[in-house]
Amino acid sequence: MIRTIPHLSNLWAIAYVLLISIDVAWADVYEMKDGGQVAGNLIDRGKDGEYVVETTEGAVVTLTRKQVRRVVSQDAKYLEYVKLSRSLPDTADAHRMIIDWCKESKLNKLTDHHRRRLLELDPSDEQARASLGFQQHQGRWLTQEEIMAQRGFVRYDGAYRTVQDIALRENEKRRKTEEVDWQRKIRLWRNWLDDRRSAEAVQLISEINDPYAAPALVKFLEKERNLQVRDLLLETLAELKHPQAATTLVNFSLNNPDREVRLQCLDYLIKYHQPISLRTYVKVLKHRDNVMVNRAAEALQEIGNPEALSPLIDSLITTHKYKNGDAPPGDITTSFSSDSGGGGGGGLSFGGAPKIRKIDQKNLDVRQALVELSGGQDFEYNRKAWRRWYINQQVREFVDARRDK
Amino acid sequence: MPKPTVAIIGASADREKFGNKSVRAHAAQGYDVYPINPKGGEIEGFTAYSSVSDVPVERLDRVSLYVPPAVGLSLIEEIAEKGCEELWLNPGSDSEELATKARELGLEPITACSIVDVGLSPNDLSNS
Repeated sequence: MIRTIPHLSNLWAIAYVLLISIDVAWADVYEMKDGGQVAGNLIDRGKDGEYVVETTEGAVVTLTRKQVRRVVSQDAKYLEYVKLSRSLPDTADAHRMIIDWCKESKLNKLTDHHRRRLLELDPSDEQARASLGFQQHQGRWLTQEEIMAQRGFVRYDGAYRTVQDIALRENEKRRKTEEVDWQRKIRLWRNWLDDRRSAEAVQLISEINDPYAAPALVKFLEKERNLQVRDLLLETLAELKHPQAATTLVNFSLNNPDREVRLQCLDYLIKYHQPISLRTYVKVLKHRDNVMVNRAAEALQEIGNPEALSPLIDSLITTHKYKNGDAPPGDITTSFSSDSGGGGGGGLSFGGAPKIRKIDQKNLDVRQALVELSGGQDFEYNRKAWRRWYINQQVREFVDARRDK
Repeated sequence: MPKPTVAIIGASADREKFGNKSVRAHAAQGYDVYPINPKGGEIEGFTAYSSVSDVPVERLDRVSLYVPPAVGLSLIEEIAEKGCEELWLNPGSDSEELATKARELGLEPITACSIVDVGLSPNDLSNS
């Protein structure tokens, strides 16, 4: 008898597809608990629910409810196929015949099933090969998938991709999954901090050492109002080797209004995130807000990298704009201009645009950072003197380096 | 044996651009190259066609994209109508949406660099 598709579940799927596409006459398949099956039409039910079925071969059988695992409707075309396939031997010619029959009957998946079996029996059948998507490649029949695999491509997410690309995508998927998972866990533990499980939550949060937790910690940190919780999240985040951890610490070390928090963040950076990029701090040395300039200078002093010397010299005295009346007292040079952009110049005015006052401010924290990083030099706010000293240092280092050779 | 054919969509006369390097790479490896550029003209001595449907061959072995995914999406139906054995979505031209649409239209998208696939490196192709 010809070999039919071994897995019934496939058949039911095929039958379901066929329901949509062809005109069908209904029959049922009774799947038995012992693994067998009976195909036919229900003609009666017994008093205890037995199925009285007229089989496709014309026999009448009674199946108890206990014997039947489930009943599945099938279409007549498929039943015809079952009948035909069972009547034929498992030979290449018989499979060729049933392939033609399946093609005419539009049973495409069954056609391919028999093509595959045909190739097992007769690997040289070119028509079956071609129909199943095989191509001649360097003297061998290969599927497109196999040919692409030889070229280093694997089908993944709807396209052929390199193994390296797939590995990157897998990593990205894993990263996203784990980040979402951490989001869920930290939200839960954060809620526990407000109730009787707070000690457990503190323990769980402080034990986090997975870098994938960093984005979730940052998210909760940004909206945290409770200072103790904020410190816990910050401390946990600080130890994670993740770019977002370092970025957040830099951000807090400049922007947090609490100086203790800013210094704490710098300590974390120095302890866990060496080497520290100076780029953000150097950029803030040119901030329009003088307070920020001095915060950046203090941070650079804490970090202690002499590469900050030159930009610090440039920022010893910085010019800032203030609306009339907002300007800080003291300091050295002022000039006036009109905010509306017209004319400028000093003098009294009544009404119109507010006067903008430009003030050159001496930055104490910048000077202190310079003193610290220069090893005790102090040229006060004399930029030229600082610059001269700095250039001399560079020349000396250059000469020393040559001598080493 | 006929030479394999390739249409380079987003082909460029600028030798620094990948859309140009791909034309040179495929030509060097024995392909009949059909650069596609709305401006037409000539690229590396090959006639540039304003659309893939103007390419004077029945079916292409390969279509290689060097345009942003949004542009690729606007061209994909025309590419499918022309037909090709392989659709190469080079880095920067690929997107999930484009790959999905290509498959729906019966194309086989390959998300990788087609220059590397023909055995060359973009860095090996001079910029001048």
